[in-house]
Amino acid sequence: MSALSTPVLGQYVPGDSILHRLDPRTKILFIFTYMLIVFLANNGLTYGLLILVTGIGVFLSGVPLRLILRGLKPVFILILFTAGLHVLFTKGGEVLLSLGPLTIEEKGLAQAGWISLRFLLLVVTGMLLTLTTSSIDLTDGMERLLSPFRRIGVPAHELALMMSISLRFIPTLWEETDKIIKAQKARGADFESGSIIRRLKSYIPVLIPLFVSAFRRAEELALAMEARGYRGGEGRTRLRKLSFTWHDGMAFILLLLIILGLLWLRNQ
Amino acid sequence: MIQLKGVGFRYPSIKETGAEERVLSNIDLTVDQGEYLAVMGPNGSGKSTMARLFNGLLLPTEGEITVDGLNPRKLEEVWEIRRRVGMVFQNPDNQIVATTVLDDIAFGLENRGVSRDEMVERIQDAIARVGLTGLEKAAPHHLSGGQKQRLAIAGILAMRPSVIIFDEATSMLDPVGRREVIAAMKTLHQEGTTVIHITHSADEALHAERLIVMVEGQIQREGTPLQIFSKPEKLIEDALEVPLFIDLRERLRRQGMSLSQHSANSEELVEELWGLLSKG
Repeated sequence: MSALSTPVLGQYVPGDSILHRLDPRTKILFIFTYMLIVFLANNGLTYGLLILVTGIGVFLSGVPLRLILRGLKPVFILILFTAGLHVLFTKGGEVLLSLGPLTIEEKGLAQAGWISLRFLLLVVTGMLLTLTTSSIDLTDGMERLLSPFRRIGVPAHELALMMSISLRFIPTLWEETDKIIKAQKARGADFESGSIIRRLKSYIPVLIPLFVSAFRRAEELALAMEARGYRGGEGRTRLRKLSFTWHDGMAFILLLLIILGLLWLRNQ
Repeated sequence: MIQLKGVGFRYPSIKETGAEERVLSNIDLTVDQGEYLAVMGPNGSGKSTMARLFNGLLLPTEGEITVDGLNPRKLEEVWEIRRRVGMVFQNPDNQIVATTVLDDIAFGLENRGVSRDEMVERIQDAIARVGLTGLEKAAPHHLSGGQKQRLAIAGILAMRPSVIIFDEATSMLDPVGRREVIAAMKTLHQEGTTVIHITHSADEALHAERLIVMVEGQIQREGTPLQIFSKPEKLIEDALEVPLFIDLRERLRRQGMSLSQHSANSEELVEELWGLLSKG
């Protein structure tokens, strides 16, 4: 196994759940709107509703919970960090604890709780998108959602192509990084000992060959694309087709209900 | 049919030195439809540059080139030339654009604006022809080198080309991958596609009907592979390796053995040697 074979946060899990079958455009729109309306929540009821919706989403995705929790591990550190900052520096309300110059106050604690919860909701829903949508569907959906904005100069096709080429080459470059690391180790390079600075520095002889080779690859790929008649997005047709089904309609109705629910509950 | 008349090529000069390197000079060549042509030559002899002239990736700085009567200098015609003249490159990884086999084969068709229904049909056909059936959804990095090159061939076949150029397409493959690609070349040739194979391997060049040897940007020799390898001039001997059985045969001849120069592969040479042995 390669030294760099750790799974990535929210990597696609193939499946056939309702969430998997939704049109990627629906999922992108739903989740982006959802991420915005998370900020409408301001009390227990509204947060309750959001937790319920996210929970149902996780359930419907059919992705094992432990996989999601494992993916969240690095995020927890970030959440603890922000929560910690809020606990210490947001002031107001009753003083709960004081240690010399540091005080923990009621508002700080509450704020830390809400912010962590919000953060968690955002990350989990974001993960649901990438867990249930293959990268190629994702780029395809993005391209189609952006294409109406082409007229005002948004390079929808180019962005999507850039994304899909990067996705295509990530495993290739990964393999290459591994190979270079091994080659440098064979020449006596040391990546494991010394201070952090030293260890970071020791990766320079890995990055330079990697960049040089990436540029060479890019040049050859451009040539190959040209040889296959690539000349930008004009007049291109597509193999992949996307179609909305009644599931997608349901998703949008659900989204509308969530928004209305939030607006009503936040004033209760 | 590809026709070159007095073609020369220089890369644009690099400012500091002002030196203009002349890569090709005075090339006259006709590649007929359905031909199986091999091109050999040492590194820097201009083989790949010539190949890039064939499909309009580069334009000649001197002379004229036409592909089925089309002129690559005309912008409308160069795209048609690139459809007709497909190219498989050396590095299997750097010519695959998409994240699955299906999507990659579709790339060229999408560029041409082929309708979706026709695309599906042509892709199925291309996959079957290169023997990648069952791998439609596979990601490129899960394919072997030979499979990647066959994927590249499928992407070209879907465009219904009349010529396919293999620009050292076997040089980065293991023996199994090489055999796969050579087998694909032979099938293509039998089906009527023009095959141009640029290679360093004399054994691979033996499969071709005609061999061109390039040295320093010029065509040095031209003929059937057997003719060329059997009468190696000093210059050519330096520039390329000769297939083992021909090398052996010529050495034995020089030693005074009465071998003919007709053997076309090692089996025939062995056959002849046996014949000599039984005669005593």
